[in-house]
Amino acid sequence: MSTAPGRTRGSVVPALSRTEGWKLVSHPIFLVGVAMPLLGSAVFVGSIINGSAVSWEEDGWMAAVGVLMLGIMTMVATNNAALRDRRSHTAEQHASLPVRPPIRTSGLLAATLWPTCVAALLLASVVVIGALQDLTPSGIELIHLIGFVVSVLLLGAIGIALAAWAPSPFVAPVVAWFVLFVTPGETPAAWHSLIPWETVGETDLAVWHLVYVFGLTAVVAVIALAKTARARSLLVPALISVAIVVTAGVVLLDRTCPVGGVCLL
Amino acid sequence: MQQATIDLTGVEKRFGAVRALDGVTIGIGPGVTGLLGPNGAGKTTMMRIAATVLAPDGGTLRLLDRDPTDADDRVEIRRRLGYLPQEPGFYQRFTAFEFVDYVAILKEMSDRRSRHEEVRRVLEIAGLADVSNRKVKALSGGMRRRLAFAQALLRDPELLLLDEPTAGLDPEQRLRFRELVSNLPNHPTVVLSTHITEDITALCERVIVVAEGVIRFDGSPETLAATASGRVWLAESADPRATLSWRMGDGRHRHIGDPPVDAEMTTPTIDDAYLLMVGSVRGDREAAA
Repeated sequence: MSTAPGRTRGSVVPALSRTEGWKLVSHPIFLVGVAMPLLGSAVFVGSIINGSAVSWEEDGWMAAVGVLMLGIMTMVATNNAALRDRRSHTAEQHASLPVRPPIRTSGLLAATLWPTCVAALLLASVVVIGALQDLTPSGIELIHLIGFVVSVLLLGAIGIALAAWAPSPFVAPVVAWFVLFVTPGETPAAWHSLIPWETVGETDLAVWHLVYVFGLTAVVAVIALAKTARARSLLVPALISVAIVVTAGVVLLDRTCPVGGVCLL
Repeated sequence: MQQATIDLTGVEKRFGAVRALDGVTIGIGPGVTGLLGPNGAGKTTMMRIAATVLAPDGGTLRLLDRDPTDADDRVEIRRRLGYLPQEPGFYQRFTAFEFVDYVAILKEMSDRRSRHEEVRRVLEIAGLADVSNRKVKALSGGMRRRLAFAQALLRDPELLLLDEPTAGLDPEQRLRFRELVSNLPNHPTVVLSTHITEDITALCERVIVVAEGVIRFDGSPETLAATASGRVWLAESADPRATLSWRMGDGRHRHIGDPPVDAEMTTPTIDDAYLLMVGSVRGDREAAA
């Protein structure tokens, strides 16, 4: 028998993530999201250049908040991508293909690195411009910036998990609204350190917060995969990611509670 | 004896109270086989079962000499089959190339260069090379149908399942499709589900007639046509004794059914035989009711 053309070589996940990643960063919703940190960065760069910028904390927040907005748009875009089969009626066609649904979900999860890289590049370019004008972010400011970038990854994964468990195009915009307007105001102050896109005041706590956000991203990825993957294959990643989130969460709560442990109640 | 590519034994499928397939036993090997039957006959159910997207309720099924109920075997079968569903879906924002490329990835072609070569090859076969950079939403209905056909051809499948591939195609596109199927390399097993009898006559060496979930005929198109021998006649006017009759372009009437003694008999076509067969199934059902 002749060899079939286009032989398999290596994993399908990188190939899928390249295609999905490119589609994500060229998605109109994502491009609207890019405009926000661009605008915030432009204002900040303007104040750096005219010498009115004092610090990252006081003047650079618009760029960082813009990145959060980019994350929210990424969530809507990944949700949209994950619901593509449902919308396009391609589910039957794709069910006859050898790549299994968890591999496709993994490819889409890996594709969220693309918008994350866009966010990182945007902020990195502002950092470089600031550094050229002697406005370098402090250690904690840098950790906060990294935290905002990781939030893009987290929000992208949330969009995919929502599509898996609540497959409706209306869910992600509602969650986006919740992230934007409800969470910070409605959460008790003691719990603020557990909000992924909040900042915490001390350097070591900021590192724990970053670990917490990474762990949370892994938990959400496991939840997204749990819809179609075999439970046994997810057990170890689930345990590790939950352990990271719980450990980092306890440390954060313990340190940010006015009276040790009381706020846990 | 050569192993059949599709081997169904007593396969059953129900959708609620409707029995879509009722103990179907059949083996299909290399070459083009036509699946003919009226709407709701069970053709699409058979195609979906053969494409591994639907599991039968009863009976046994082997595809490409593997057991589709086994997860590893099922993946291997899917690597070697191409499927064009009755109502294919498309990603509207993708270009034709991107869409087929995406399907190629889902067919485990991870190496970019060879995958792109393969995508260009199938687009060329489907006659879509010139519009490969055009968005799917900008393609005509016929082009989309050919795009769906192109994705089914990826990796030269050994089993190609085409569910009503020529629906909505204009005559030229239909002829082009016939040319494509008849020139497929490596002599795959092609199953063509249709109710367009011209496609069967033009392409198939074997035809299976399905009605109400049961196989009513299995043989060559010529043999199918021959089942209507002595039951097709021509007359100057309508004949109430005919099961079915229609006025032709030359003004005469073509009748099928039980002819009168003095009838001017004519050579039956596959259409005549099919209509008689499906009509008798319907008649039996009505009589039973």
